[in-house]
Amino acid sequence: MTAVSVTDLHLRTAGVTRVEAVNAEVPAGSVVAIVGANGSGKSSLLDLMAGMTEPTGGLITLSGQPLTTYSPWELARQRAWLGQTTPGAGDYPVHEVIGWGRSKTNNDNASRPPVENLAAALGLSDLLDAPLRRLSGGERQRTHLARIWLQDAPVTFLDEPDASLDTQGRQLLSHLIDEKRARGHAIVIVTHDRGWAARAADQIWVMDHGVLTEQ
Amino acid sequence: MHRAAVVIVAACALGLSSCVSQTNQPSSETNPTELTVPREDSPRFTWPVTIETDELSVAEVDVPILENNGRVLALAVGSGEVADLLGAGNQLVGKDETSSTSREVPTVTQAHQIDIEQAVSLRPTVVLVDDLTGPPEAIDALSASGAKIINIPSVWTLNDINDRVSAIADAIGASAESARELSAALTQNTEVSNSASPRVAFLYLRGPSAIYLLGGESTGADALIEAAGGIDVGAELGYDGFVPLTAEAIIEADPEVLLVMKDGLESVGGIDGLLELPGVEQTRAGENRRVVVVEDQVLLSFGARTPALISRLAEVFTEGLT
Amino acid sequence: MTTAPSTLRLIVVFGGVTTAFILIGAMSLAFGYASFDPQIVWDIRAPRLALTLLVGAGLAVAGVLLQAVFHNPLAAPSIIGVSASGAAGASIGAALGVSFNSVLLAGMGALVAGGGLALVRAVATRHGRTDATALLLGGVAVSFFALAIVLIATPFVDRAAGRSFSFWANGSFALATWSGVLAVLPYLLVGFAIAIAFVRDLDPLSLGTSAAQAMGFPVGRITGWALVAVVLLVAPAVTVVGVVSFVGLVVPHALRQVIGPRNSLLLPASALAGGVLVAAADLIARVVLAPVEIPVGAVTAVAGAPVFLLLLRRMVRDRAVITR
Repeated sequence: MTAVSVTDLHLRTAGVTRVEAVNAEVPAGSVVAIVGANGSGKSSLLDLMAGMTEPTGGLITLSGQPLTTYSPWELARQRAWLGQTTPGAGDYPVHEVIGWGRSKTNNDNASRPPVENLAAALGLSDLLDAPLRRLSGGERQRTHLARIWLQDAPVTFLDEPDASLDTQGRQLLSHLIDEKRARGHAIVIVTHDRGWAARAADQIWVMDHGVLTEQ
Repeated sequence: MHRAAVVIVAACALGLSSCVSQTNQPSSETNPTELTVPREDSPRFTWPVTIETDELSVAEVDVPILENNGRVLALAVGSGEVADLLGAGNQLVGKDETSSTSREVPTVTQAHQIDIEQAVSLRPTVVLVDDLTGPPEAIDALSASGAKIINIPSVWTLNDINDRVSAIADAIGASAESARELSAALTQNTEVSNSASPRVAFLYLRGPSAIYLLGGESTGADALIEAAGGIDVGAELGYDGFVPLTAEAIIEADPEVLLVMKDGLESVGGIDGLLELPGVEQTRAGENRRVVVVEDQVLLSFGARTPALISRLAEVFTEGLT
Repeated sequence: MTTAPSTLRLIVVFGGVTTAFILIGAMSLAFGYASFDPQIVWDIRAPRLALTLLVGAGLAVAGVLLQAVFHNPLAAPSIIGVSASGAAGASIGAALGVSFNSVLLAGMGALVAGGGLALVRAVATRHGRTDATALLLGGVAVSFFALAIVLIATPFVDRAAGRSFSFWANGSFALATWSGVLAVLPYLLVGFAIAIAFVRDLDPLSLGTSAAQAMGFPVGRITGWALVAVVLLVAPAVTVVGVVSFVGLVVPHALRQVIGPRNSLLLPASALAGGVLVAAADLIARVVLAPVEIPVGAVTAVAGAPVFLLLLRRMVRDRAVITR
């Protein structure tokens, strides 16, 4: 089953072509890493696939259906997205921020891991009551990862999630990704860590000036 | 040469005293606190002239004191004074800021707005109001508290004074005869003759809002000016009510004297500010700084001090233009 | 700063507000001429107290909504131009002869305020992202413009009516009547209802438009409704009592320090505290120079402007201009 497919995808903003003629597929239960130099269009491609940006041309399907047919909350059930930075929410405690991942996607809660479990999986058990502003960059990133993991969506899009994580954090993330893949979910990650990508990813997409090379 | 001077001075003094005795009741006393108009001393006269309320005597009539048990709140302009003169002085429980009464009575307005709580707490049975009384919430509250609200007609000419006085008399239970007597006293000196017939312009000034107006017919001031023997230049030019004060308008009007209210003058920065308004300095009045300043509350109140005001104006017009 | 407020803190806050409410309510009903005349208390002071509580609650809740939707602690009704626009609508209506303390005039105020808010937001927003600084500056400009309209319209209103420029610009509860209360009540109730309906969706908005949208929150719709609620909570009140400034800024900010950021708690707390604050301000306005009344907006501004500056300073220091 295909989790995500893009056909002839095209994005042009402010007079610059960011993504051009991209055709690709993400099978269910696989990990796709998108790599490339800065400005190569990695984030743009990710955002397009996640439905965060509207393409200027081409078609994107998610779980077999065109992206445009999804309502916001249906979309949130099918896919999770985490951008490069998420400022804000500084006054809220970790457990509450993570909990937001569950609000709109009201799948049956029984099959979903509770907040504490996810927090533990990301090493946040001691920080559940702390407000975000007191956390380090890495801890904050892990909080947001827990949040979108709580959405338990079949497809997860991550934009450089490892950027502010230390080694331990990356390991925890790695475990979570493996676990998700084992359950048949798909993950698409933009990363600079080609070593990890080579080890862990099923596909590596290389972006260069908006054009894709598959591997 | 000495003798000529004495004759002139004596003639002026005679002329003056005949004016004075024509208009004042024998029992009243004028206390001129105003400093710049000399009496029998010297012929010099300095402009500008300010007419304070206190220097104007209150017209008096001999009417019986009323014995009814009313509680009167006099909020129509000048109505407190009139009620007082009609013998209802001890029924007054409150007044507005434009009246001064013989007995101490609380003033419930400020900037012509009624303090609702204060007014209602006085528990009046009768409230005298006119078009200028506000806010409406206050009047509603007074009505709701059981007081009878009586609307007193506004006065813009000396002839209307009759209506106003009889309306007030009616409201407070004074007799029609008392009303007539008082009306007569208030309108008695409309016969002041003045050979000079000075051209007077009434200016309405509100500095902060940049509102400058020239008065014409039916402003009320025109009636006063004419009663004092002058010519209201705005009325002469046919303006109805107030028109904007433009250089063309004021120069065409060609006034010899300007009549303004005290607060209004202050709001434009005094005489100097007034002279800076367009066209004013070019008029004969402006060139010679001939400005008469009257306290706001007495100028258009058409009340008990109006006769004294008219005679004072006549005095000023006569003296100042010779 | 602790996170979830402890039960003790909640008791202190709500208890404190309730006590203040009782004290201030009693004082404002008793203070004045002929202190215990029942007619004065019922006809004059009771509607005045009721109006201060309602208006204060509306302003504070509007502040909560604005701060949530624009992720900026400086967003408040009087600062982004909603209040002044409401006054402009009211003075235009009054100049056209619409009676004061009427549902119609309140509606006109709401219309113009809605326009003003839409204008400011349109100027400051691009691709769904609102620049906080542009929002605040736009609000200042709109406020000046709106107050100029009030200045122009006021001379066309009967002078005896007592609605001078100062009445609109600085606020006054001196002319409060039960009909004034009834004129604003329907708008306030609808505004509160909308706010309550959306309160739980407000917290995730703090993550920014993208992240919140990605989690399934319809940010555009929530924002739209929240702004409608803001207009309904503020503008009709302004048509009855004029502009009362800084309440929507100070109350949510102060409460956030004590009971945390969660809007489902902040909203009701702000409503209560806002009402009490304005009632207190009105009492001060009546008492401090008695028997002369100073405008209630002067009291709130004297207290509120320093808070605004403090907040601004903190923002500059943290370099945390939160925009999304």
